Amino acid sequence: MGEFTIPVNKNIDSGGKPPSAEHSDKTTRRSYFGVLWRRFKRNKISLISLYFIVFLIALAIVGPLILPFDYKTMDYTALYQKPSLKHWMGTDDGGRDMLTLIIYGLRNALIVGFGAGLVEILIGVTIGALAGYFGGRLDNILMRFVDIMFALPSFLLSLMLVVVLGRNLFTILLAIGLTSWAGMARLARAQVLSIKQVDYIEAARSLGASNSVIIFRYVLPNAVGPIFVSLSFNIPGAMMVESGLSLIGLGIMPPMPSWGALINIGSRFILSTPHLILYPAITFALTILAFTFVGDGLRDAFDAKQSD
Amino acid sequence: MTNILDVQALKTEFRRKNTLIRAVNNISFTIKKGSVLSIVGESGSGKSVTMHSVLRLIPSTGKIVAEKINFMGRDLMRLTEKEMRKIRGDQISMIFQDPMSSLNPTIKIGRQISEVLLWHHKANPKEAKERTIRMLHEVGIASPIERYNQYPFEFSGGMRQRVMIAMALIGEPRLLIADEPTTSLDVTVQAQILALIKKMQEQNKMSVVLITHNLAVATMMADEMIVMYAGQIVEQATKAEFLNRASHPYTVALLGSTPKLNMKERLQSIPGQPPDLKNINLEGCPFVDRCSAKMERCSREEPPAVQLSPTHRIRCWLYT
Amino acid sequence: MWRYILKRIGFIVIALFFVSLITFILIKSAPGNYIETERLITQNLTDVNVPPDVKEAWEKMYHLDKPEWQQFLIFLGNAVKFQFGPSFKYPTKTVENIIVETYPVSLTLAGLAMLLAIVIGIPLGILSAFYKDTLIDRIAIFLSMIGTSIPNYVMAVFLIYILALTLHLVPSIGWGQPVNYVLPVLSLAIGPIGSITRFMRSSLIETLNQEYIKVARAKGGGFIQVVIQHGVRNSLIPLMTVIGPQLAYLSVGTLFVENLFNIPGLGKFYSSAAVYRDYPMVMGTTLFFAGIVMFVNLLVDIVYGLLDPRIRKLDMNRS
Repeated sequence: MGEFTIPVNKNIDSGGKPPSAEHSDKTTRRSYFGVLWRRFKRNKISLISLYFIVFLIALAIVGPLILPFDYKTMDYTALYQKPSLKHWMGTDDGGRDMLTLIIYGLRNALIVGFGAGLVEILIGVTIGALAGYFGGRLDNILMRFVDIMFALPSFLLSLMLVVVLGRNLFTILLAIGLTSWAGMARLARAQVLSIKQVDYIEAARSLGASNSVIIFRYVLPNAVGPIFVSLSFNIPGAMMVESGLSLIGLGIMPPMPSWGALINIGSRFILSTPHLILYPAITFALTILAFTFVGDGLRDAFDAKQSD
Repeated sequence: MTNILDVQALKTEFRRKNTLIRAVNNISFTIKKGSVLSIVGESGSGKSVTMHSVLRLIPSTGKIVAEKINFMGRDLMRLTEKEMRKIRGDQISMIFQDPMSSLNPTIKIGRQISEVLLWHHKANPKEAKERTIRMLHEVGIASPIERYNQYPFEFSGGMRQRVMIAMALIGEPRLLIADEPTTSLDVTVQAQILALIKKMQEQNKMSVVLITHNLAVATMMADEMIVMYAGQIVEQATKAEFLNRASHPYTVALLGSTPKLNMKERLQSIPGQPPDLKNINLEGCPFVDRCSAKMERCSREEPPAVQLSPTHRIRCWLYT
Repeated sequence: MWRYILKRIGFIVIALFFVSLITFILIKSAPGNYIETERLITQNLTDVNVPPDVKEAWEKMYHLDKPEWQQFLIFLGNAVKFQFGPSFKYPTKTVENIIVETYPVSLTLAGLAMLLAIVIGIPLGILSAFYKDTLIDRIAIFLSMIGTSIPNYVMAVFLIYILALTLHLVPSIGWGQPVNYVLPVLSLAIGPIGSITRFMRSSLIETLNQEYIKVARAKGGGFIQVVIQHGVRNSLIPLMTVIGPQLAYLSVGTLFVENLFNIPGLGKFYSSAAVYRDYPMVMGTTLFFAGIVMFVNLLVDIVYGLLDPRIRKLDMNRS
C-alpha cells in the first residue's frame, strides 16, 4: 500500500496512566547483587557470553597443565599439518601444536587484559576520585593532566613504553594500563561529583566522618557500577592493544605465543595453510565479542532506568 | 449549509503489550462549511486522538476503524497513504499545542513554511518564498523578509505559534485543526493568537476544529460544541444551546467549575479522576463514578444517544 | 569562536610538547642503541663493539655527543620547522622525507575507509531506525556490534579468507593496483560503519519521536520529506562527534592493516622503526601522529560549530 509509519513510543495523548501496582507486590526485597544478576540474566547473549568467558578462564588455567605439547618445542617432522586427532588445530611452521599456541595466547591475552584493567582502575579511579572529591585547585591540576593523557593517542605511548620497558607480559600490561586510564579517571570524577551532592554524604560528614571513610564507605561503592561497565569494555580493549603490538612485532617476546603474533605469522602462509591464521583470528574474535556482550549486559543491568 | 467533514462511528484503539486502550470509542459528528467546532474535554478524553485519526496521524501502535470519514465528498478511510498525504497540509492542516517543539530547530522557519507549497507542488521556489513572506506579514510577524531566514530559536513562544499558523494556512486549507493552540502560551498572547485564528477563519471562509480543555476559549470561538469524556461524545450542541441548556451532568459540572471568561484554568474541580481507558467500564456509562445524578441502571447499561433538539444530542439516561 | 580555536591550538601545542618530552625521556632511558641492534639483527654478529671512530662520527651526525638537555632543545627547535633529521635506518633520508613519502598512502587508506563507512553507515542506520525492532533492525544491530568490537586486523583476516581465498573476488596479496586497496579499506571501514550505524539509529529513533516530525507529516510530507529532510538532517550534525574520533583513530589505526598487508604506508615504517629502535624516526612520527589526531579532533569540533545554526548565529552576532 506504500504506507509508512513512524515508530513512536511516546505517551500517546489518550492512555490513562495511573502506575500499575501489579509488579511491586510480587517483588520481595533482594540484595543489590541479586537484583543485578536477575537483570543481567534477562539478556541471553550476555549470559552465554559470561559462561563462555568463565570457560575461557578455566581453559587458560587448566590448559597448560594438561596439554601434551608445549609452546617452545619445535617438531620438524610435523610442519604445517592440517587439523588431525593428534593436533586438533594442526601445527604451525615450526611444527608446534596450534591448539597449545592458541591456549597460551589466550592465557597471555587474559593476563594482559585483566592486568591492564586493574592498572587502569588503580590509577584512573585514584586520580578521578581525588579530583572529584577535593575539587578546587587539585581538581584543576589533575584534570588538565587527564585532558592531555586523553588527547594523546594511547597506542603510540604504549608502543614507546614497550620499546623502553621491554617485552614481557608484565611490562606490556603495564605499558597498556599506564596509558589508557584517562577515560576511567573522568568517569570516576563524574561519579564522585554526582554522589558527593547526595544528602546522606552530607549527613555522614556532619556526623564527623573523615574524608577517607566517606570516600571508601560511601562514595566508591556507589560508583562501582559505571566503573565495572567501563572495565568490561577496557579489558577487550587492552587485549586488542596487546595483539596489535604483537602483530607489528613489538609484543611478547617469541617463542611465547600471542594471538597477534600468530596472526602475523599466519598471514605469511595464508595461501597455503589458512588454518594457521584462521583459528587464532576466530578465537580472538569470539573472546572479544564475549567481553563486549557481557559489557552490554552489565550496562543494562546497572542502568537504573530499567524496571525492577 | 453543507458539511465539510462527516465522521461516522469512529473508533481508535492502541495496543500496548497486552492492554488495549480505547482512546476513541464509536463517535460520530459533522462540521459545517465555514464554521468553528470546539471539542472540549479533560486530557485523555480522546479529543486530540479523534482529530489525529481524521488525518490518520496516529502512532503505529494505533488502529483506526470508522464507518466513514467523509471530507468534501471523499471517504478518507478509503484513501491510500499517498492520497492521504495530498490532503494533509493542503486541504486539512493542523496547528499543534507546543510551538517550542513543533518547529525543526535546524531548518530556517521560512523554509519550514514554504515546504508546504513545494511538497504539494503549488508553487515554484521563488513564488513559495514570496507567498511565505506575505503570509508571515499576515500573521503579524514584523520584518518578515529578515525573519524568513531565521531559525526557530530566534523566536519567542507566541511568535512561533504565529509561524505555526502561517505554516498551517499557507496551503489555504478548507479545514484547520487547532490542537490546544494556546495552552502553552501566556494569557495575553493567547488572546492574540485566538483572534488571529478567528480572523483568518473568517477571511478564508474555512472550517476550524478547535481542540481545547479550556471552556472559555472553546465557547468564545465556537459555533458548535462537542464535549468528550473517556473517548465518547457525551454532549454536542450549538453554542447557544450549550451555554443556556447544557444537559449532561458532566457538562453541567464542567460549566459549574469554569471560572470567569478568559481565565486560564484546568477543569479540575469535578470530584474523582478521569477514567483509566484500560479498565474502562464497557457496560455502563463511563462517567458513572463521578456523576452527581447517577441512577441504578447507569452502571449496567450504556446510555443511549438522546436528541434534545435537531442540533442538540446527549448520551445520558436522565433524558430518556 | 576564534578565541575558542586559539585556546584549543594552545592546548595542542602544550600536549605536543609533553609528547616530545615523554618520547625523548623514554627513548633516552631505553636499553640498547641503533648500532648495536642493527649489527645484532641484520648482520648476525655476536660482537657488538663498534670501532670507536665509527661510533664517534655517528654520534656527531645525530648530535648524540651533546648533553641530553641540549639534544632535546635541538630536537624541539627542529620539530617546530617540521625537521626531524636523518633516520638511523635510512641515513640518506630525513624522517620528514619518509613521512611525506609514505603518509599519503596511509591517508588514502584512512580517507577511503571513512568515506565508505559514511556511505554505508548512514543509510544502514536510517534503515535500522525506520524498521525498528524488525528483523532488518536486529541484523543491522548485530553486524554493527561485531564491526565495532572486533579489531580491524582480525576483520582483515576474515575478509581475506572470504573474499580472496574462497570467493576469489580480489587478490589477497600485492600492492600497487587499485584493486589491492579493496581488502585493507574494507577491513578499516567495518569498525566505523558499525559506529555510524549505531549512532544514526539511536539518534534517528529519538528524532522521529519529536513533535516537529509529526508536524512535517501533518504538512503532507512523505518518507523523503519527513524522514530524510527533517529527521536525518538533525542527526547529521551530532554525527560529527562519532566521525571525529573514528577519523582520528583511523589515521593511526591503519598501521596494523599496513603491517598485515605489507603496505608501504607510514604506519608500516613507524612500527619497523620502533622494532629497530630508529629513534629519530620514532620520535618524529609519534609527534606527527599525535599532532594529526589532535588536529583532526579540533577540526571536527570547528565543523560541528559551523554546522549548528545556534552556535553559528550567536557567534556572528557577537562579532
